[in-house]
Amino acid sequence: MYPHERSLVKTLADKPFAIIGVNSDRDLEKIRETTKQKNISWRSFWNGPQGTGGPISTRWGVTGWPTIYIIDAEGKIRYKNARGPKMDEALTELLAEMGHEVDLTNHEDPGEAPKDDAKEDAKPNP
Amino acid sequence: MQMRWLLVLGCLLITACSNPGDETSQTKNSTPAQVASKTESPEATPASEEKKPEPPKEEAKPEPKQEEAKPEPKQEEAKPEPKQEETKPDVTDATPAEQIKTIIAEYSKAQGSLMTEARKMPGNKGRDFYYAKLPELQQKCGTDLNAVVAANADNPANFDAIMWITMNMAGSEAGTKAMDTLFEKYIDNEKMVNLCGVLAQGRMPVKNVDEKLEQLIEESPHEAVKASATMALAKTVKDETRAEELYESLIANYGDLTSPMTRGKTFKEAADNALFQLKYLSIGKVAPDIEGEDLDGVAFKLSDYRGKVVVLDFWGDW
Repeated sequence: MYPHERSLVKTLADKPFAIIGVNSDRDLEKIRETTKQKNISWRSFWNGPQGTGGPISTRWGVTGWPTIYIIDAEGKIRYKNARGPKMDEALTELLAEMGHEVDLTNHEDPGEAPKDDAKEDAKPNP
Repeated sequence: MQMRWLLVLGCLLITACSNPGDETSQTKNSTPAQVASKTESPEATPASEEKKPEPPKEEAKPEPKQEEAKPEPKQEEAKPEPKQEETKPDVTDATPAEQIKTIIAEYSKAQGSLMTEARKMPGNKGRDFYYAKLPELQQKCGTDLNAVVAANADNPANFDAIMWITMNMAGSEAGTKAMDTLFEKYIDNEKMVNLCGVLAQGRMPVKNVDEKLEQLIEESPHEAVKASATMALAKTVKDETRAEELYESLIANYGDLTSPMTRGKTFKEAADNALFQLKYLSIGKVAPDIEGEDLDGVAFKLSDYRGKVVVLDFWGDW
């Protein structure tokens, strides 16, 4: 999960693209630490201290984790639970609709937390 | 006095004989044996939608697959029977009900050991091992149960055996036959509710699920079964408008009921939630906005990202 998402964040850094998480961990301190360690740079809502029983996932009727929605630029839900290569295809399609040609057939994971504080998205994109 | 008693007796006889060929009335009015069999295993499959016995290390690391995508719908009846200590080692002297109970309990035990063994293995090996070995156990249990059923035709206790085979051997010839028997002979049984829970998950390799659920909705005398079948049909039916109608009827007719299927919520709550998803979370609908705080406590909204392609990921690090 994380490697694929990290890779997308890196590859699509200059595209109109974002990963938004809804984190359902109960322990906020711990998950903050985890995001640092595992280089989870994308933003997440916190689902609250009830964890998987929190308000956002309840409203969205989420009963399995992870659950993924892919939303287009107009805010419309276009795919549910498209993962891995399917997610890549979906993103390629939706970005193409906006006039952005991207190639996600071979993207690579930048890896976990770099030792120095170098921000990965500070790098120029190829 | 005597005259009056004769009259009463006469009336009773007339009542008893008034529907000689009516099978439904026979099954509806439980015989003592039926009542006994009901109380013996009241909750063979208490929670159709609760977590199933899961493959090894399910929770340990989130896989790319969904948590709920993995559990087998087949293991419904695998839960330990509440009164295992009563099972007799010598099955031959036991009543059919006891025999059935013993066979299922033995299966549960074997399945438990298999799970324990599988959990000790690293990575996905345990899971593969578990699912490779499980069919053998199911086959044996199914064969044993079928033997009891065949030897005791029309014994009410057969229901539990036939239900077990239906759920655990779905897709096989034995499973299909068992399912047919359930609908031919036991449509009035209130434990058909357990089948609804499993069918609702839509993963059972069974044909014409919608017809079967329709039949339950129409023919079952039990509200809990009708409600559960309605819920199951709403969940599995492809046509969204039909699904909405079913949820609406669920709210109207059985709103206050709860069942294991709704995990303690009322059918109204569950249906409201499902309707929300149908109306707002289907493909092509504009995603409902989310307003909340990020992990640093900074408020933001999902709609702040309008104009971008967004991967919305409900995740957890556990």
